[in-house]
Amino acid sequence: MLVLPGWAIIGMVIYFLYGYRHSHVGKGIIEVHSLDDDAPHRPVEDGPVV
Amino acid sequence: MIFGRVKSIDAILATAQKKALPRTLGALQLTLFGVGCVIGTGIFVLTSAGAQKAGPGLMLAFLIAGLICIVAALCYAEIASMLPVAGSAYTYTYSVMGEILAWTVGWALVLEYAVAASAVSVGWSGYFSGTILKATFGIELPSWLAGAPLAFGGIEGGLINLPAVIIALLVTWLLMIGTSESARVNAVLVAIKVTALTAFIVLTLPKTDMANFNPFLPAGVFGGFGTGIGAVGAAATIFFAYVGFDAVSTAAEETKNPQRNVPIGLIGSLLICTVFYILVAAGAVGTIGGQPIMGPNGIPFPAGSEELARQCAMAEHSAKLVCSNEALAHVLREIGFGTVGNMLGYAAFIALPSVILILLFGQTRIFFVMARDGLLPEGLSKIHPKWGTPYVVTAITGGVVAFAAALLPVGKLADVANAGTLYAFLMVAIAVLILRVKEPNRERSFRSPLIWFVAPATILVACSCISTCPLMRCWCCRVGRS
Repeated sequence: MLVLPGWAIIGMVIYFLYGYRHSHVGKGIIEVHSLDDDAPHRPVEDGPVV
Repeated sequence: MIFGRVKSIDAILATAQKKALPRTLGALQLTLFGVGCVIGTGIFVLTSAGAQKAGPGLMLAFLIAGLICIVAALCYAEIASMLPVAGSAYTYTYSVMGEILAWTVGWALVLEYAVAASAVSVGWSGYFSGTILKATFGIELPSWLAGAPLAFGGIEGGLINLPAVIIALLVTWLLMIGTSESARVNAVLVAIKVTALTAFIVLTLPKTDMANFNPFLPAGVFGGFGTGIGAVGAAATIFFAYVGFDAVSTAAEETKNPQRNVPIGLIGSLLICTVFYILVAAGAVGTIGGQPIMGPNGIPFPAGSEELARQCAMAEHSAKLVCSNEALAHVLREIGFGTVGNMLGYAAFIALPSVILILLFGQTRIFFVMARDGLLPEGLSKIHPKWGTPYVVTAITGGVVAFAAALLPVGKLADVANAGTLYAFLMVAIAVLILRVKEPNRERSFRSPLIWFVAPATILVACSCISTCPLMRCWCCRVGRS
């Protein structure tokens, strides 16, 4: 069974073909998602404790 | 520099603040998430194999396995309290060891969550078609609707596994319409599981005979290095009855007061499961005994071996706990609660979709964060304006899981799925240690005690288990949650 090595190779191929080139960190982008106007912008402060 | 792509903790928190998921989950719901994913069918079927390795020391084995997982959970709890965002081990690795290693963790978790979700869907389908529809209602599903094609490892005359597709799509729809709605359904399913186990404990514990616990450790604690028997060997077998608690950390971004509630959910769910498992083991062993069937050299026959099967076929052994395929139901039948025993089996499988739910939930949150970081198409990270869920990635993931469950031999892949978890454990433990050194003064609302023991112990367990995977087929993954 070479499932895991096979899976890892597929993952690396996708990373280098897409992720590496589009990575926000790679592009020096920190503030992102400004194109997505649908996204609700919510602060991350804590809600009430349940 | 490919390894220089590290996303700082502040940057991760800033990104999450910019596009956060709604915080709707509390400590109780998170704990139920953990219990829902941990208690699958493992406890219902692993008890026999554990008893064959450890005898009555099965209780000790459950304790050892639980402690190992709690040690890993402490690492998760500390880092999740620092980084309360979705993505779990992927995000933690990104913040400490960089993008490429983070990608490998995220990709490994995809394998774990997606394959396991498909496999559990197929397992549920088999029980639904066979026991619920056929045996109970006398309805036989046409074979072309009951399984994948034979050429793909399915059944004779099979075309599509329709019940598996339906349950996978149903859970996907639930996850799309809201996290709190999913949490409510999960709570009901967890209640069914917990009720079943509680009923088992209540019925068996009063009937225990202390003589059944003697000798307590017929194969010893360690059982000899590499033999896989004894309490430690049994703990390795049942270790995977606990796997799944890490999915709790993927919900950190949707949790109210995550710095407090995520550690509670992680550790609380494991403690609950450990106590249940030990009590279940005590009830099973105490009532009908749990002594292993010994070979001629005084060493227990290996669990699952042909020789053990031959021994179990003999009349003198057939009623033993170690010979049962459905240990808990068998115990109840043996002590005169046959109907309850049958109902226990029903409850175990009826509640199984909670495992699918949490696995799919974890999968979508990891994909969501990877898309938010640009490593996957950004459209995947869209949040629904009304439901507040990452609906695009949820729909796609659910569709892929349903497709795999319908047509592919996912059951054969399930035994390697847990290797992703071990890899994630390893990376999280390393990340916690690095952060203790690099950012000692950063606020941690939860600090793991004895971190210089806890994290190395987690690394040791993960490495030892991964290293026993010849050609990446993990021996200890043969008994997964499904």
